[in-house]
Amino acid sequence: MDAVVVEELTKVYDGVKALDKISFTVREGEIFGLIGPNGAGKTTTLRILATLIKPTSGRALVFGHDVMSEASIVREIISYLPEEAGAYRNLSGIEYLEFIARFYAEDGEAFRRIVEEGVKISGLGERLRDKVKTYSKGMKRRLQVARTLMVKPRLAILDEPTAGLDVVHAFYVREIIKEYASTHGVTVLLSSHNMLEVEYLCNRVAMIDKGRILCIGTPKEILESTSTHNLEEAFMKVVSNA
Amino acid sequence: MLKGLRNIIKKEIKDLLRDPKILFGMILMPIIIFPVMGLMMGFSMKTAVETAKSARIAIWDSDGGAEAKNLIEYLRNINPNIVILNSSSLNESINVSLELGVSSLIVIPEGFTENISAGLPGVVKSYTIIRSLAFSGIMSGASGERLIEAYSRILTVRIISTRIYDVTPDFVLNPIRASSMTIIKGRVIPISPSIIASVASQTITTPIMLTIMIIFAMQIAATSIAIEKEEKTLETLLSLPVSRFGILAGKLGGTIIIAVLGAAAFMVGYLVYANQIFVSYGEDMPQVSLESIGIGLTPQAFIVLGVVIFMALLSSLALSLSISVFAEDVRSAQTLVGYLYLPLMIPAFMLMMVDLNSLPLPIAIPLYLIPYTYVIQASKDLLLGEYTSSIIGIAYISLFTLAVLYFAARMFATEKILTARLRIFRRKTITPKT
Repeated sequence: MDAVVVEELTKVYDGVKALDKISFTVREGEIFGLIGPNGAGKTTTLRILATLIKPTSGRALVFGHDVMSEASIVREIISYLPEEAGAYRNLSGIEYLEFIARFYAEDGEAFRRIVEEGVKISGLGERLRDKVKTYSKGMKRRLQVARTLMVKPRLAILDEPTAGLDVVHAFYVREIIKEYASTHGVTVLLSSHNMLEVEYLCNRVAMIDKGRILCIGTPKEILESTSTHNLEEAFMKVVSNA
Repeated sequence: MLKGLRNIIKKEIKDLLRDPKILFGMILMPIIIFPVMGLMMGFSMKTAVETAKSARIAIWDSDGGAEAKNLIEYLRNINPNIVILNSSSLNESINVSLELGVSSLIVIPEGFTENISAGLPGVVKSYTIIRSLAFSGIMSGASGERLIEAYSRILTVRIISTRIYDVTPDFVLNPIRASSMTIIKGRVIPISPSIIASVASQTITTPIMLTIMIIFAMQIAATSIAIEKEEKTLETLLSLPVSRFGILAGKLGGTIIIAVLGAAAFMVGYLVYANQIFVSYGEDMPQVSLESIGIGLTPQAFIVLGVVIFMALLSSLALSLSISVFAEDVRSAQTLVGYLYLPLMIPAFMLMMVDLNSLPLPIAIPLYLIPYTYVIQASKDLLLGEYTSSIIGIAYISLFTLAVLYFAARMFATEKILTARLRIFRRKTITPKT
């Protein structure tokens, strides 16, 4: 079964078309990347799949469930990491992980397992006892990635997971995503404007610009079809041909 | 649903109580500030009264007659700090008084005894020396004047009893004695209505305290949504497996608990404060309790009042939450909610003075539409055992709250909660991130 099916999805904000009939599918277990510049429509697509906003037309399914009519079921199987996600300043890192875990855990044992997983993924050790307001940007992002993946969602939706991070933190986050997808079979749909990151992480990518999908394929397929050496060059070529 | 609701309430309480602004501003401040204020005011009142009682008074007797001696004798008995001056002129007396640091100078001019003996008013001059405009300074300065007035009344009684034989001094001083009664709920109470009014006016603190409590709670409710936007936690929260109504109810529940804690802190602080103040005034307070004159809350009335207050609190919080959905940040949310305070306070202040039924219709109708009106009216009516306004109030506020909650839930269920970005006094922007 496909993890995500998007068909003719359109979103109009006050007369401005943010998405213009986009269609793509994400296969179960793969890391799928949406790449494009700022304002291309990546966040809007992810927000629709995360049931936060409604499409103007078209439809989107997550493991066969419609994001509009079955939003509460979709929320049970996804975990969404917004680009600028924050955590509650006055809670400690561990309290934040516990807060999120309680929404997913069926019993005490499951709760303990989820939190332990979160502690492991974050790699923040003793600093998890400190309040979130004392964390650096990188630490906050690691906490967010941990809370997104610790619940082992069927679909993890990650919006710019490494944006604004230094090399060390960005490397850590990329490794965690890759490891999690391969070890736990979590399907990952992520957006990025860092083409090299996407080339390294993703099994397949969709290039998006001005609310339209320009091409879809594995990084290798896209490079071959565009006769370029990396996705950055490929993107520029695809955009100029569009 | 219940699991998520409990989780959100718990998180809200933890997060809010750890916010120094809320912890200090709402809970610790009232508990600390009010008692400290009460202690300070009580101490200064006590000091002022004691200073006035022990004020030093100088007397210059240039009459030297029997009546002057009687007056000095009386003053000496009342106040042991009397200083008799042996001056030769008024100027010298004033200078000596200033040097001695007395608070007033009483001058008995020549002819005082002669006048009284001849049936003419005797003249006594009182010079009050004010060194400070503080309460205690003026009070002690004026004590000489008060002592002369007191002696004048004693002299009146003596003159009537020695010179007028067919009437008693009491009759001359009080030829008519008014006996005031009050009828409340058909019961005749042998107490003047002015005393009842002064005792009943103490209940004025109830609406004031309620207003403050509700304003506090509304601020927290408005902040609790806006802070999620400001701190970028809202998107995550909305994508979690919990219903939107669960989030709304959780926020409402957390805010109510903090508001009740704040109100309790406020009440404790206020009671300690009031206790300190009344202890210093103690002796002069009328010893009449509302219960002893048949005005009071029965246990049933107390419960009904509690329900009315709770419903009003709930409606205010729901309104505050709904409005703050449109705000982009905490500052805008607080400004938006600030616009609700005026309608909240209008009934509180108007109904403190007048009865709702006595108002002309064009003024009464808008007041009837404000849920808070019923709290004030009910708190007055229930004291007299009247339940009608409470029952109408509970029914109206319930409908009002349901409508507001429905609206708030609708707002939560739509993407408006993410896309509505109203900034107060700044350019309105609707620029969702793509």
